[in-house]
Amino acid sequence: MKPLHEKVALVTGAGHPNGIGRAIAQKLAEQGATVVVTDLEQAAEDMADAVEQLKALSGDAMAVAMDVTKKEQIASCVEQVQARFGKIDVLVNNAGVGLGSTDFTELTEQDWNISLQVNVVGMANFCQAVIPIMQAQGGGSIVNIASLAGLGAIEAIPACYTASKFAAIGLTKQLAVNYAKQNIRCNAVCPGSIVTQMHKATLEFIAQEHGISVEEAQQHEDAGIPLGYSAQPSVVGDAVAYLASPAATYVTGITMPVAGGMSPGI
Amino acid sequence: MDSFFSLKGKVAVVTGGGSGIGKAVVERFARAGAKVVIGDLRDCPELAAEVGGISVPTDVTVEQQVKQLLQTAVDRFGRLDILVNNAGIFANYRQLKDATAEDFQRCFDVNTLGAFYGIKHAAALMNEGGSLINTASYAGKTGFIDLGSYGASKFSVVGMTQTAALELSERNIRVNCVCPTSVNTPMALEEGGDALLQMEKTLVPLGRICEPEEVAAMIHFLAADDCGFINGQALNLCGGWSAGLNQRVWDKLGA
Repeated sequence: MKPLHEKVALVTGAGHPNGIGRAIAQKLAEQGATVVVTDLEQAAEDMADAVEQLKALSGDAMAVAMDVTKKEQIASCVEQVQARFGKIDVLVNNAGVGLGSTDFTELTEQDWNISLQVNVVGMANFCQAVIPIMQAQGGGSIVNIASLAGLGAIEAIPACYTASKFAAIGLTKQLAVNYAKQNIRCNAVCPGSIVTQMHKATLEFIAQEHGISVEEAQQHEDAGIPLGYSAQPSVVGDAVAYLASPAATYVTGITMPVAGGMSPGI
Repeated sequence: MDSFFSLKGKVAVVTGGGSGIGKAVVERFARAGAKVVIGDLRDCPELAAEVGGISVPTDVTVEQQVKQLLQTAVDRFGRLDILVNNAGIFANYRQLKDATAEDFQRCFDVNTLGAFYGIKHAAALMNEGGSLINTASYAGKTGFIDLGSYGASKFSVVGMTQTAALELSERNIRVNCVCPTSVNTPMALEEGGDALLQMEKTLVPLGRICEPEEVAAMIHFLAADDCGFINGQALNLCGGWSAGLNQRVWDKLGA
């Protein structure tokens, strides 16, 4: 039997076909979970594709178009999932944004607001909506997608992103401590250099800043990774699948870097 | 477990594989499809037969024996993909003011040098894409009263893990370690450990100590190709302890 057989997992920000969220959803479905994907309304078509793909893997799947910064939309999403599947065993808070200038003095109030609303408050609100369900069903696993930038500062990353990811890790640890006795585990995965749209934008920025090509920027980055390469999103899915599975029953409150040995900052 | 965590076709060596965490690793690896070589002080022919592997009695404090253990795996099964440096000992519960150099020597001989011999000789024999996992300890991440000699040896395992990860990543060999709090094994249940176990029931948010199978599951994850981008890490297996203080502690402190 597959490790996530008969489990229901919800993954936020799983619309983009090449993003980390989709890779996580796919990995969880491969391991037997019924997966619910969420993303913004504008990703509805991508989500429809995701549902087809996930159904083929584990039998059933569902998409909910929603915005994690809208508390009432989170409540409605969770209600829809409850009505359809009756439980949520795994919550993966993956929805996130990376924006703002890497020049700290140029960061705007809006940069801060959006970063914190999506990466921290959205994550917290989703946990708040799902935890009562997990309490009622006797446990569950929450996996928050933070970042290597949540463990240390990296120069080419905007401060609002770094701060939001540090906050996400603090939230993760708080929930781990508060809900362990109810068998709700909460961990953070910290991806390093993963080949995604967001990552591409960072490389383009670095390239522009230093007057080099994007390929050169990628080479510089890879040189700083002991394993020597930037990984595909599926490697994050593997870590999430482990943390979500019964193999990780004693694992809670940890931060798990998935970064090929790269360390954040100094 | 189907494709996930599959160790099919892999050859794994587990030191200290005859009991406790090591035995759980041996059994789990075998279920995942690996050929397992058990390197324990005691010969374990029955366990070896059960899992379809072999037993090579090994004292990890003797470099030549560790080298021979790894070479036997290659001679017998044609390759070496995974090494779990798990053999470990614990000297005694003593504060540093009462500890002796012998306490430190014993811990370092087995826990640190034993792992070092494993890393050194596995590096020469291991295939590209291999995985080395060291059993460190949560006492290798933070201080514990009475565990000075043991803790020092486990801190050094964490440090060595990170250096090895940097040095071996060129050949795509990953090196990680696991850092469990007390595990339900004969070692944790040795005399004098009651206070620590009681304390952990309060301090660990999950309210219990760790089971050997739970450590084996994390080692299994780190051994599998599925987690091919996790490298140089010292992962806590602490029931939430490292995240902070839970309500039970709070209540006790307030009382």
